[in-house]
Amino acid sequence: MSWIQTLNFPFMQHALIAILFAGIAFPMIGVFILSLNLIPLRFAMMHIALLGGAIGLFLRVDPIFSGMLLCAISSLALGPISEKTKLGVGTISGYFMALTLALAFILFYKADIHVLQAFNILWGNILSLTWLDLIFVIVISLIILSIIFLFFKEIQAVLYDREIALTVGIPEKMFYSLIIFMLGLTIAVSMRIIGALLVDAFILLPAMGAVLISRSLKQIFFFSSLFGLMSGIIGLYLSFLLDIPTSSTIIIVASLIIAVCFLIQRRSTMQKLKKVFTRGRMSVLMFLMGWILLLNFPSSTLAQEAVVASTSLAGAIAKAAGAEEVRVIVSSEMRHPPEYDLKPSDLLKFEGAKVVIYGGYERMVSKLLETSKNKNVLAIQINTDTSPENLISQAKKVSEVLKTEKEEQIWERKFLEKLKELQKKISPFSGKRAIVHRFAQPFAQWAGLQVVQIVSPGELTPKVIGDAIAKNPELVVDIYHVPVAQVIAENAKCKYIQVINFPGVDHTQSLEDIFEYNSKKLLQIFQ
Amino acid sequence: MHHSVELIDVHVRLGHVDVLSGINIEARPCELISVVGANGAGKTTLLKIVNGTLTPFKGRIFVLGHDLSQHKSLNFLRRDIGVVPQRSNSIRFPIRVEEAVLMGRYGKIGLMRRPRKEDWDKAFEIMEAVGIRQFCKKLVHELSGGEQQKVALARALAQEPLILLLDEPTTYLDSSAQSEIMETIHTLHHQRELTTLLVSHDSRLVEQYSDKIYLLKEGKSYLTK
Repeated sequence: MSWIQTLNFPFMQHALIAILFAGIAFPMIGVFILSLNLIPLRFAMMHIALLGGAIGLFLRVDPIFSGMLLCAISSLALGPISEKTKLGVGTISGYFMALTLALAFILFYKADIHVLQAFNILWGNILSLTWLDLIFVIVISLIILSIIFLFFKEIQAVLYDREIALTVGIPEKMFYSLIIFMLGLTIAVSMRIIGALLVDAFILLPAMGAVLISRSLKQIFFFSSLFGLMSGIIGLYLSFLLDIPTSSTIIIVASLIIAVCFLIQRRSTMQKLKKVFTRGRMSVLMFLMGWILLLNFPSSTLAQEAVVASTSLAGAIAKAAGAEEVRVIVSSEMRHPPEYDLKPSDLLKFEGAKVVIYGGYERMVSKLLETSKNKNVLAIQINTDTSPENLISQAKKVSEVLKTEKEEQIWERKFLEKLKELQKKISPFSGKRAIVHRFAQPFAQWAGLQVVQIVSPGELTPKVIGDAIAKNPELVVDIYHVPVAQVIAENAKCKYIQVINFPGVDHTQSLEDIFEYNSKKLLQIFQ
Repeated sequence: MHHSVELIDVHVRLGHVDVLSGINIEARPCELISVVGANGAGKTTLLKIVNGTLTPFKGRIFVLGHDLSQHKSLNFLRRDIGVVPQRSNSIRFPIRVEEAVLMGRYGKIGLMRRPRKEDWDKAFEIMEAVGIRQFCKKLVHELSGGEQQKVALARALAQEPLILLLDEPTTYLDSSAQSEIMETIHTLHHQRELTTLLVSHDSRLVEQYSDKIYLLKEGKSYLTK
């Protein structure tokens, strides 16, 4: 598949439009951050967005909307608060960062949401942009560009020296607050839409490179936009060519641009570079780059009946259901799917798929389905509870869609035999008093453990730990993917194991492997 | 004729410290007034009060006939007050000399308007008068301390102010550069019929150029010349 052909896919068109706008406009916000030393504010905004999301989840309103709203309100308030307290935006940002994070954690605890799950609300990826996301990016970019165009001289004075801006008769406080408002809004939106990684790639890194080589504010704005565009387009292209995660590739390209700017900034290096890059050599280099552009990308050819699974567990269920070719998106090594950074080939998997199986908590899947060109794909949401009964029922559900009921029945028989065999092995330990992570509950029940307390996946409170120790457990069963309960085992001086719900650890692949791995852990700890 | 600047029994407290406790200063039009005092005597605070960036908790301030306590926004007034701060906060910001001087016109040009030819002409005329025309394409942070001070002076004058406030204009300069900048200030003060308020810790340096000298000591002002 060639570079040009990839442009037929909506996800590629959307990514390029986003790069065009965000690549030009967002680095200008980076110039504000660097000139006014607002880096702490950038971090604070990310945490404020998280609190906004937590409030949304707690009040059962859209967390995306509440996150953006809180960021907008906070960015309006931060400027005047720092003025009144005379503490500076950096110090105030530190205060808000700590406070909002603490408040968000309390809300997550009260709403019984795991923090890692909560971060899912802030998941964004440039390869999964919907039209609504694009409209957000375009509108904010146009606002930034218009403000800079209309108020260039006022902004120049404020960035140069706020005191001087004030003394020449510019309403400096108003412009400073406007800058902070634009910054807050851009960070909130870009974090949610293009992902936390790309916030830096599009906002901060191009501005850093531009500041190194520019001799005026106009040049800084020009070069930061140019570098933003270059890193976006080159990064997207390379991620296709090498089939590596897109956001990370864009970051690496942006970082390389900064390194080149640093070399250019040093005149002695520049003179040496001029000797190395003669006209003849540059022509050869340009020819090579052109040739690379025409290279074909590794294409993803899928069988007509291919099944795409969001996680390794969904993939194992699909296999159990009798699917022949299953493509898993989130690699099995990934402890937590919501943080997954997409590769272009992941998107192409969708294009040829007949069925997509997902758990419902992976926001990326719903977005990918929305942006996919393949509208004939059938999405099956499954329940990912790992009790044997549920796994069988989910495999049946998938097999009905795939028309592979016979294969499923064969698997089911083997699966139940395997479980019987394993249950026999671990039977000496059934009845052990256990404190169990909520996600490990299906395994604990299957293994016949006496569950004396269940711990939630959030931060443990002193009371929960105290209660657990008082129950005098013999074993703590934690979950490998999001462990929280080791502290209980250490204080209660009892055995501790981590079990898995997703295959992938220690070469586990199938649903049987999950039970075998977990049973082995139980056997090992008591032998 | 009203005074250009008049401070009556002004008290300023920063945190829990009384920086100024009963200051009385008056400057008539076209006078060059120097305020001298040791470090921490409140000289910079005094200039901030005149410019309206700091509000005293007691006392009255009149600038060009306006009672500052009666106005919420002082941007209109600041356009008539040129300020040369002790040192710019943005030492490494890439800005050419001509742009930095033109910045003095920004308040007068107004919001959302581009600088016109007259504004550029004014900036170049001032650069010529101050003696920095030849550096106009250079970056400000590439200049020597004395030259940077002249850029700040040119920017303040580009405002075409009625009042000029100078905060330690000779600090960080060697003795020949100190005399040169004081001569330039003195000449331009007369040429442009400015009311100039200059604060310095060096009373000997400013004496020959000043019409009046006030000494700031322990929060009080004393007229010494």
